[in-house]
Amino acid sequence: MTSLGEFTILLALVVAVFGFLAPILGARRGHQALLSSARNSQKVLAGLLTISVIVLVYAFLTDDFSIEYVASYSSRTTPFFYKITAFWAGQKGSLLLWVWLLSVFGYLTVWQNRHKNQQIMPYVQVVINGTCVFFLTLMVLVTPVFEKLVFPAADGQGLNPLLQNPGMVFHPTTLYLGFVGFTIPFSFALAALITGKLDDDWLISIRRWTIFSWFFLLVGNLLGAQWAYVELGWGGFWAWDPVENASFMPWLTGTAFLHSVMIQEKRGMLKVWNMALIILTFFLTIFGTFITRSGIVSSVHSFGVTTLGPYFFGFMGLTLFVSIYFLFIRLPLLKSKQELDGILSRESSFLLNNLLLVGIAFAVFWGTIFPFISEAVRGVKITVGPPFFNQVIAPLGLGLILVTGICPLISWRRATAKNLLINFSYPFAGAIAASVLFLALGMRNGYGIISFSLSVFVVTTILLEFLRGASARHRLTGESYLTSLFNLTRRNKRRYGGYIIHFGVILMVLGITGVMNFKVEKEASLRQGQTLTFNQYTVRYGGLTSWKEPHRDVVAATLNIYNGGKRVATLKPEKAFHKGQDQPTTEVAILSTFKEDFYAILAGWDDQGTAQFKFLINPLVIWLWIGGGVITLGAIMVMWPDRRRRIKEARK
Amino acid sequence: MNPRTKFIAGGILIAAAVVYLIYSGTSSTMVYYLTTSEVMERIPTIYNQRIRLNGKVEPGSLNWNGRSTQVEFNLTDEKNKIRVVYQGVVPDGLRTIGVVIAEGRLLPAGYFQADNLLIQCPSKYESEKVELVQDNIRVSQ
Repeated sequence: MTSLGEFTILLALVVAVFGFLAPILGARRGHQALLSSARNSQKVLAGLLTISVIVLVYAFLTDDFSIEYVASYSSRTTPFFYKITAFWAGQKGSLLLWVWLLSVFGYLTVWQNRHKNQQIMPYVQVVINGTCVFFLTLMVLVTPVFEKLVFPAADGQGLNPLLQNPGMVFHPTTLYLGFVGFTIPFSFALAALITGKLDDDWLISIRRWTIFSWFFLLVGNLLGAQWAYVELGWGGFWAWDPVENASFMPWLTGTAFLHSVMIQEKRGMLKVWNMALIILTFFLTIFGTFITRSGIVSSVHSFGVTTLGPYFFGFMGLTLFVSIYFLFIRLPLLKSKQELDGILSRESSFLLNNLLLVGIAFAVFWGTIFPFISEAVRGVKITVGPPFFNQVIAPLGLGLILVTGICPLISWRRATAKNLLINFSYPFAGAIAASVLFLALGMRNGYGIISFSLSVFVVTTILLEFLRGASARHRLTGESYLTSLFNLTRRNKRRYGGYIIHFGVILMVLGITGVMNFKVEKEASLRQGQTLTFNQYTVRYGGLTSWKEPHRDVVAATLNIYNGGKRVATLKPEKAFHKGQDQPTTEVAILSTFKEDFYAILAGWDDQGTAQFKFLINPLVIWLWIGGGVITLGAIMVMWPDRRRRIKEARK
Repeated sequence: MNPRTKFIAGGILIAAAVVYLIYSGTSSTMVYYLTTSEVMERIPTIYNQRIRLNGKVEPGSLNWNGRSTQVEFNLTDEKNKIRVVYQGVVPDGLRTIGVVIAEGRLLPAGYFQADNLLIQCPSKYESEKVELVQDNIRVSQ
């Protein structure tokens, strides 16, 4: 079986090389048969890699410990479920996942465009297959996933208990869907540059791919945040770890791209900027894969897998060089059709949005690589921790929220005073009223007040848009308000789906603002039966219980939580000792409400049964996850295929 | 002023704001990130300065019963070692992963008083995990 796996990967490399070269030759010489077999090769590539994926899954499920990768990440006692997720627990499997997804996306793209974009499609394939060649070369030369042990291990080393969490199924996979997905918009952009066919067709063809990748990158990050929150047991969900930053940066530039392409579609402007953004986004996805998978940035000297470094640097350099070269020679073709008119206009609010997003991305980049800059310049590593990111990004983020409210409503070209008054008097009044209310309620946290008030501003603009649209439609068609609202959103999925996504983002902002500005924590040592008062909560510690499970021993504390004299919950924070490790795994207990989370950590105990705890009250956290759900709804709406367009296409 | 100039001026203004934020953020939050040897070289100026000390937990030096909030161990870079003392919630993976960043101060008494221990995302330390099977690998290429 394993030789089948090795063989399919080797063959996939050959096919990818063919898929890289054939379209170039075919397109240059107008050789139709060659182009058509290049298209077919995309199917073959996806098929081959699917086989190798199946072989690896099979090896995990059948405990084939003759394979080094399987022996390193699985064991006989690893639960069935985690034998599958162990697939991407390490670098070798992750690279296979990456290239497999790309091959499937490549096939889908070719299939989607079988009647469209015939001029640029060969070069789209060139870019996709070029990327595949890179990853497959790595897998053949540096990280052979099917590598065998000389002496098969009797049992594997098992999966790290921290990775044994349901979140680990979806967090890496969704992130990779996002990372890999951005290859498709990039390949269209580069193909358009190479062929010089720079009208807006390619932009329209990649709309759904862009929102798809953007969405999965966001969901991947959110799931990672949630995993950290419930599993890592330090009470937070985001630590500005280089690995987190790596997946945040392409999301930021991707968000900028998602918005600025609208300017190009509507007004024919910002063409060079858009190209630069998608090139940058792709570059950052490769950079992100590199960081997450090589451990170079956070590595403490010798722990990175240094062999990967040169390959990744080479590929990133080549990508940048080729992209910038073609961008440069096509500059004359990328002239704007229009000029910018007024500074108070939708165009400029989009520009502001873009500058802020790219600014935030740059700040994150700076904070991530600062240790290396300082080491190169001053010979000593200096880091900037979470305070740097919070300090720099909070004001930029607030600006971004404001723009979220302004952007969709302000007029194109030049806003008149009348337009501003009509669109913004209610939201503005709402925001002012909100901040007065917060002040009156005794809130004195500047960032908190501004952030919440801006959120009110944005939500009011979104509500107004739905109301105005629905009532206009009601007047026009005589449908009831509700039907109008429904039809309105159905007919303008992209626009109203976008508003729903904005609404979800604001909900996330609430959660982030709550935790950043209003979190409180308390550490305490409690005797059995002792109570502790923490804000409006009273905690009564009822003692420790312990029990044995097949693969772990658990110690849990019983905590009765009272809120205003009424018992609201029993929390049982635990420490679990996994077999073969004397290192415990902390399992926190959380009482989650719409208002706040009560978060309990069992830190330790002594022989008399006195236990040490850490408690946190994290306000509004739940809205972060709910916001993610709302964004999912909006994104599905935006991506949903248009019935009318399909019919039109069929008629053609 | 024509619109183009206004836009360029606006763009420069925003870029300048971003640069200023990054500059002030950097200078107010930077912390030395040192290995144990680098810390030893800087004695005595390093005493009582807030730093991030990184290294590996020296095998056998970890003094912790797995359930108390007091922990002591030596951090090492294979050349020099420093005693680290910490009280608080001990992060998971201290023993198994053993690659630690300790935030705190080196005291003139000769030990490092940490108020925060960081252990990084476990998926990254795979090169550590395969030790057992390392010399057992078939050389196939």
